[in-house]
Amino acid sequence: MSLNGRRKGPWVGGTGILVAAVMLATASFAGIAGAQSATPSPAGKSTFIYGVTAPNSSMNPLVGYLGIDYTIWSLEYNLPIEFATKDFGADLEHSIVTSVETSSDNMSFTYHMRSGLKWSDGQPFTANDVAWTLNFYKESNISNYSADLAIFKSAEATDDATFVIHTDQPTSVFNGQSVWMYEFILPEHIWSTIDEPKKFENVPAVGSGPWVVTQQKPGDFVRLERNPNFWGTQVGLEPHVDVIIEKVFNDENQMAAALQRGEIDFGFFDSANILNSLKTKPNIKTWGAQIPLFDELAFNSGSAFQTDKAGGFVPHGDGIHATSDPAFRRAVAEAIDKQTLVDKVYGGYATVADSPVQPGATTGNWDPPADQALNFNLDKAKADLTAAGYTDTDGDGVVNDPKTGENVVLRYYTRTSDQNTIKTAPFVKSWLEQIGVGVKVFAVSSGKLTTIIESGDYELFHWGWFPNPDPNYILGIFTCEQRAPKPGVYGNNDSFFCDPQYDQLYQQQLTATSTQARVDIVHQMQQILYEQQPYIMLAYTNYLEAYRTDRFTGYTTQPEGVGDLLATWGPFGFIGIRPVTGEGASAAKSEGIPGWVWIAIVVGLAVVIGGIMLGRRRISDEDRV
Amino acid sequence: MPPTEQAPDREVAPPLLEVRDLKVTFAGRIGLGAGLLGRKATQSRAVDGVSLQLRRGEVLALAGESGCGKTTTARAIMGLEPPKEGQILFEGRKISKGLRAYRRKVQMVFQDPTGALNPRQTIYESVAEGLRIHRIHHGPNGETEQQLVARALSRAGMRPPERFFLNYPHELSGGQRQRVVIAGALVLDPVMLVADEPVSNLDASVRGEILRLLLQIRDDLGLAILVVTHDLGLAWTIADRVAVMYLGRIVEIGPAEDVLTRPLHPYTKALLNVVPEAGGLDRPILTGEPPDPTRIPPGCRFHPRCPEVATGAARAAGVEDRCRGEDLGLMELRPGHFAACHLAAVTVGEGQAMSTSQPKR
Amino acid sequence: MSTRRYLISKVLQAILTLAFVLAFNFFLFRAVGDPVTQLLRGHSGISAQAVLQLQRQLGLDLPLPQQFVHYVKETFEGHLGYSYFYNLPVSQVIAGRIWPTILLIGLSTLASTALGIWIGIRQGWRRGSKYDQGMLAFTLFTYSMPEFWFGLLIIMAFAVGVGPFPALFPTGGYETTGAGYTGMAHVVDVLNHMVLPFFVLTLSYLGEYSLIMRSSLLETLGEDFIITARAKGVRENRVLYGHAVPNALLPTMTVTILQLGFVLSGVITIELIFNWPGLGLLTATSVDARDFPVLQGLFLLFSASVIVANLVADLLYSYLDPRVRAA
Repeated sequence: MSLNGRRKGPWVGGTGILVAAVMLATASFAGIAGAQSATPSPAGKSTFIYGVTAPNSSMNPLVGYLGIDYTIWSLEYNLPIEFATKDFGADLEHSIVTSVETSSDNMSFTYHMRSGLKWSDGQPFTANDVAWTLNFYKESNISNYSADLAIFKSAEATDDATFVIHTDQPTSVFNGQSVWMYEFILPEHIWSTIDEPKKFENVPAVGSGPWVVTQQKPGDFVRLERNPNFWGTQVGLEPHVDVIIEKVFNDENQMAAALQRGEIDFGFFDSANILNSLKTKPNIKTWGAQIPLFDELAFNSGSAFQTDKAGGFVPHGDGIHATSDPAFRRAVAEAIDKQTLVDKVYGGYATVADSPVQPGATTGNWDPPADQALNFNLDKAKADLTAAGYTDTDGDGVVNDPKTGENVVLRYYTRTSDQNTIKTAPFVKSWLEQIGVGVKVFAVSSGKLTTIIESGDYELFHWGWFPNPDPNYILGIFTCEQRAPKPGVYGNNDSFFCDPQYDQLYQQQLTATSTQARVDIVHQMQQILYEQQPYIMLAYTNYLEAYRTDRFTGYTTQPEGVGDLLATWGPFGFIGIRPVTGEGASAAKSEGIPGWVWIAIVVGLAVVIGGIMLGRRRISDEDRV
Repeated sequence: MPPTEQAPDREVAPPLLEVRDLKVTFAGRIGLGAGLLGRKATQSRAVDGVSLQLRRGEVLALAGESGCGKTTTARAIMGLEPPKEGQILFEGRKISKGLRAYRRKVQMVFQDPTGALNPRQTIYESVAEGLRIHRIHHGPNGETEQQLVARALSRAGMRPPERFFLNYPHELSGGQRQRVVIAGALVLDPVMLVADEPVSNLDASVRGEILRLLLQIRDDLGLAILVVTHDLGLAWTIADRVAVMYLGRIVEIGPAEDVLTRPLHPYTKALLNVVPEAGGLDRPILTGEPPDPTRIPPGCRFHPRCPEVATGAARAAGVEDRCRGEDLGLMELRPGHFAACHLAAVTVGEGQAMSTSQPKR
Repeated sequence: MSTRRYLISKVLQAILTLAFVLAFNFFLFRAVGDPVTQLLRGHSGISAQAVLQLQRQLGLDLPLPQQFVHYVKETFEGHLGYSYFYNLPVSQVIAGRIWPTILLIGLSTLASTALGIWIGIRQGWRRGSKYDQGMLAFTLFTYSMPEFWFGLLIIMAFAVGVGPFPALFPTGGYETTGAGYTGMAHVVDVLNHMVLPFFVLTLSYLGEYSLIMRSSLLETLGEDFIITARAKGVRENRVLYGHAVPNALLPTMTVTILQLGFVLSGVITIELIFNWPGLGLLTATSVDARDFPVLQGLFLLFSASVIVANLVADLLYSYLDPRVRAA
């Protein structure tokens, strides 16, 4: 052995084995854990877990605003009238309200309720709760509900099972023939005692629906448990699941893996690619649900050039002039091949769109007549641009604005959180460049884009909406007063569309005294939007869903045959699902290796490591040389 | 004042330390990739055939420029570098046998006392470590460890020793630290000290003190001391004999007075040029590349820089070809004074060309 | 300077830094935009009266210096504001995320430190050997490998199960959602979920520590006191563990403690991929949601933990290294 004694020994093997051993030891310990935790939830309780890709914004119905928040509240609370699973229509058979009478002046509506309803804490649920909640929403100007309650004056309970709604103007919307009120009814005895209702966490909650929230870890999961006092059993609504958990995933691939492993039973996805990759996996089915959901290319219809002061609007932003010209917007719309986008970008999980009120909405989708349709045709688009005065006057290949003489170059924003917007951009850029319109594409976060939109510093962006089944809300976002009045202030009207005639029609549909009259007005409004193209409606996008077939069954669709498997407009979808029993049922959530194998591995490793360590020590203790 | 020459008596007593034809090589640094591919590094011959002897009570200075191999020689003697070839005999036995006992008898003192002391040990711990390593719990007369440490510190001039026990190295001056290092060496009652540049890192004001301390130790305890130094002036001050190294070899060795006043080797002459005590400005100044142990020139390894070759003196003496082509060992050109120089061999007279180191090639 | 004065100066320094961070945080938040406007995002048609009320509530009607005092007071009382996104108090949102992060990142930092030091010591001790070169290549590889990529591979292999690999571990999360385990079963369940991210993190950061340990050991091994020790006959084992390692550990310890200060910040990529509900994930989602109050709270917490870790490192250093005590 050498004099300077850098000793050769079993170091290489030693370290390698030790590293592996430490890892494996942890692993084995947890492997045993895995084997143990493979047992299903305690005491035969059935737990349904669905995955989502974004955290809830709040459990409080005064505050939250995301679709997934509404899903929770739909399980926890009741609307005065529930959405039918079949078609989003009024389902009086399964609602707390059984009938509605309209007064002769169309300004008072008497609602008759079921009796003997209870809250989850055992307190009686009466007409007083409904009247209190509606008045509270109106008085507190809760933004989730202000559109529905715009012409609502007050509500009063005339007895425990009857309440009357009074309106400012004659109307048909409260007549009970459709679900107008997307207002969750809260227990007065809880909420009336809270000092700052908007800061109320509302966990655990007191509700009237089939399940109530008992626990949440913000950004991680929400847990709901059976409401023992659920009134629905009176009308045959018997839930089969004891616990429902909404699990938040921040990475879709991770959610797909969790579904394959059986950690979740159901998942709402965003990416068609991921959904398609799940298609072929065992015990998994995928589904593209047609529900109210669309993607649009929105123009800045002139935030800097409009003078209508509705809503305190002050012209702002540096959007170019061209996009404020409806003729320009129409020509651009003709240069977009929506079918190609549906196929190539959305992977077929979408249909071509033309109006923000889609087919299947409760009140009237309108389709453009064939002679008015803006079909994909680059030659016609170019011709229409030229006809509107947009020609390339300086010969640089980009058309010039007839009014300002400047090159028409659109700042086009996509969102980093939505792959579809990013994948769409190259198509759109290429088409627009073929008709001589310049495009500069940017990808930003949703939050950043909100700020850019509020400031009016854009020409085009790609985003989407998740409208209510009733068209009132989505049509409302095109009214002048919903524009962002100045930079830094939020406005729903993200295209800055403003048309007095449209605004007038919007008021009229609220006060039409018959449902058919309202449908006619809603059709006219859609026609205006189509002719003016503040939004180039790209596609009615599908809700991408995947679920395990070996765990739960009894999924329904809303609307019938094409829609959401969990029927998240109301509790009925969740009520229908029940655990798979008998053949093909898999109770265990992970297969795992038997515990004794792990124990053997750990013991074996311990012996090996121990031997190496002891051997090493003996060698090192010898004297050098 | 140079110490008195002690007459060597080869017949009577064997030398305390004898180094025979010592060779030490180093592998050069190689890259990670090359190493993984199994490439070998170039060999660097740091010490290339050194032979020397040290007697009890004698002070031998090993001098030369940096890179000449003097420190490597010292480390090999300490058993810190494995010799590639050659033998190191201590009290007539190879040191590789019974290294532990050897380590007790031979102690080392370093150039930089700050680095030589573990910064996280107190003075007491540093000095006592040697005792603990060698499991010495009591002195020969029943002294306790504390008494032994105190005595060593006190011999090294740290008085009163107890005052310093709990100090840390950074709390002492450079000279005090070197005294602690020396105390750490003395605590084991060694018979030989190897001092590698013991004062060159110290302030000029304390150098004298430390050198006086070393000589006093030699006188009081009869220690043999091998001093490694680049400074011939220091060698003159302290050493009985001086060995001058160049490129891994000893090129001249002999009594200090003789070597330093009447040098035989042109390299020694060149070194002396910068020593004020040696005086004289007519001596040649050393020029040329510093030596590179990975590329050793053929012939006399000093010839590329040799002023005698450069000025033509070697040619005039008719030895230039041998300088360039013929390797050579040490020759005793005066009694007890050896040198490895073709020219000196001619000019001093044949003498007895006794070679202590036969070139192998 | 005496030890006490050194300690006092270090503590004062930390307090000053903390005060600066507090002030910086205050002004940063106000530079981002009017907090009331931020809070009212998405709530159109709110009355001027309500705005005024909200301003009063937040103390924003007061002059700036008074606001600052108010803010400092609130912060010390643990009131960090109100999350825009979760619509909950920031302290509540953060408190729910601290433990998972401490558990995962803390444990894996300790594990990679311990293993890294162990490997680094062996590498340094046997510099240039096949072991050293092999480990160097291995740790450099794992260190430079993108964590998210490595994490995804590990999920594919050990959670989903590909080819010969069995699907052993959960794909992510902190516990089996909805299982409602308690006691030991809960501990075991969390550990089971922690295996894969722990493995990825430990391996990813191994190189950092082994490289530092290796180089600082090499430096120490070159010191004269090591040679002195050897020359005195100190056994190799004691040269290494008695002399070299204690001195070489100092830089590694410092890095480790500083790194522990960053534990609270979480590791965004890993927490994202493994859906680990820690502070890193909270940071990522809050940035995306522009949840400034949460970010402000996180920033304060992260800064404070780094400052405290710094202080601990300073204090520990002075304890471990006699030279620093006097410096």
